[in-house]
Amino acid sequence: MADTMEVDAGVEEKKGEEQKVPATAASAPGKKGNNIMLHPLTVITISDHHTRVSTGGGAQEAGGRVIGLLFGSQNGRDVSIYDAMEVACTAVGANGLELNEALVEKQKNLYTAVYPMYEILGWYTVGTEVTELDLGIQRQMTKFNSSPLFLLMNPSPAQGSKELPVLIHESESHMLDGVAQSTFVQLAFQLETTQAEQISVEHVAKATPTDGISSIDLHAGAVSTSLRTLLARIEILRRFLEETKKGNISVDYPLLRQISSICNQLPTMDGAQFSEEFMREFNDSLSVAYLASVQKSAGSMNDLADKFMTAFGHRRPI
Amino acid sequence: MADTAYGGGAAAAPSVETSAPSKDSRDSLYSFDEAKLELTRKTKPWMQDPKYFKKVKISPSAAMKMLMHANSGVEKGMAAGGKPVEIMGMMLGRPDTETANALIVTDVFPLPVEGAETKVLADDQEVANYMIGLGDLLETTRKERFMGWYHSHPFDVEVHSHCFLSSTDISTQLSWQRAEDPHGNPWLAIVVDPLRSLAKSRPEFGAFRVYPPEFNAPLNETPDGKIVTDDSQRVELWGACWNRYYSMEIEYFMSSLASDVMGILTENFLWMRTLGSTPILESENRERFSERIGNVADKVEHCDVHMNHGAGTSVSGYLVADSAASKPKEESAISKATHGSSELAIEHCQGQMTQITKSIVFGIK
Ligand SMILES: [Zn+2]
Repeated sequence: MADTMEVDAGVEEKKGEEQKVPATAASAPGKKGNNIMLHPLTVITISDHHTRVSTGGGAQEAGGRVIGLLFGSQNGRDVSIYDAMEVACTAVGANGLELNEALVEKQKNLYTAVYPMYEILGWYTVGTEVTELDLGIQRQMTKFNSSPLFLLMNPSPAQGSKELPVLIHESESHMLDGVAQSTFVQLAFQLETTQAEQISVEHVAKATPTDGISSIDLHAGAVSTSLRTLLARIEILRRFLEETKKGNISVDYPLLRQISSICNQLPTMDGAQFSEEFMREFNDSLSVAYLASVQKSAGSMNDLADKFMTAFGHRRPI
Repeated sequence: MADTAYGGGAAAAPSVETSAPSKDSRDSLYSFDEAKLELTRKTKPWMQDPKYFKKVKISPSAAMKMLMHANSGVEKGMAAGGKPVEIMGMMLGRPDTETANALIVTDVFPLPVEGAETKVLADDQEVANYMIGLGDLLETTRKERFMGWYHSHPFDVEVHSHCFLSSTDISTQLSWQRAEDPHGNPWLAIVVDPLRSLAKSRPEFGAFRVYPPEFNAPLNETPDGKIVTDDSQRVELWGACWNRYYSMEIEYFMSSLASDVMGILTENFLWMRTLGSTPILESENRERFSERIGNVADKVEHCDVHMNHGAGTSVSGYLVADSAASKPKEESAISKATHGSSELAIEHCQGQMTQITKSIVFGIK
């Protein structure tokens, strides 16, 4: 069961590049209009890869280029990027670089032998902006996916940044003076986590010693942090609505429709049937908690009785 | 210590964004001094002490990949309408040169192996070929070698974790240790319990090394270093060969970039997960709930039977077992049942906490 969460500002498609360009023979079917889902494992794997290369822990020379493949699945309009795999490249000339296609093929075969439901969706690198080189590699990648995604990760996210330092692109062909030209177009994406992923992210992220702290305390803390974050988000929306009402900002109909549809969902949380189920669950949990405390008391009583027997057991009761 | 000596020949073009040498101490485990590692591999301190390694340091991507791989086996088995499938894979890493007694796992690689009681790899030519191919490919990108294996125990959620080594696991691990340890490559075994990880919302891993057969394990010492005299208890927790291996402490490490990214992830996205999901309501946990209640009930019943049939003496109205021999067993039976019921209660308290919060925030009252 996977949850999706919308990534905030910063990943909207660039409006200027949306103009329709007559398709050429070279232009591949685009992924625009698809739901692109990114899994945290991909981001963490790329981070590890970057750190390994930058510290000289990999087979490459330190400070080399970080390049790898993106694996995942595509079902209809849903594209999920699950995993990333490092791949070695071949140097071309003084400062060129190209994919070693034999190695890509090999990596693909190894990966899909374990996860047959996944395919190569594209590739990644680390940097602050798209370069000429990236277009070359993008062209090579079309041999493995007709419309490869290109993920660019910023290795030094600004301190205190609230956005994931990740941009996802696809390439688009334009006809410019009769010559086909490729450019990268940024795509919006969402973050998606599986339960297994969430568990590792949360646990590894707060790898602080939790000995002696009740797990109920920890959970209460997480709930309260989440509520505060929710409140902050709602406050932003509320301000947006107020400003819209006052006419201080232009009306964003799609956004208003989204807000309205969320509000419309809220009443379904109630209803007689729901409350009944809810109360039943709650009472079940209370019973479990009650029985557990009875059990615990019985256990303690037994311990006490044992201790009593050890201390005074040789005396017969009067 | 970040080792930047390898960076000498980096001929990166100005137009290419390069990964600048990092000096953050959090990144120190991502690189290593090759000369120092070579020396450690030659000295082989683990050959003198069967319990030399005390700690295993795991990278976040390795932890995530193991858990997700194990979970894919669970989903696969369930989707096919049967039991969860066991999976296995290889680990990449090295003995820690900076801290004695520690092993480092930097990455893991799943193998196309699945089934019940995962068999020794070398038996299967296809898997052997896969490993050779994987090894060749990794030589193009990594400096480390395979230093261990992981596999999953996707058994039903019980009072205790299923992170232990079965006798098959022990002979697999032993043959690997015999082949690799003397060549400077101490071999590690990790066991993942995916169902418990999901139920408890925390990764359940066990990291183990096996004693050589000639080593006399300390009397009555279980793999976690505890002295347990009750045979049924130690077999239940650690398997039939409970005194032939030991477990190591697990620690996670994270690069500066990964922890920055994780920070952003948890702060900005996972709050929705906290409010949006309730593990006790997940179908997997729901299906197993009555079964787990049943397990606890069985244990409670076992205590009862024992107390009634033992040569009990009534002391001021309390029924207490008298026979000295039966005492440890009875104690552990009661504490086991108590432990099991507390765990269930805690899971439900947490779940209801979330549910009630959501009802107050989103419900219309
Ligand atoms: Zn096993």
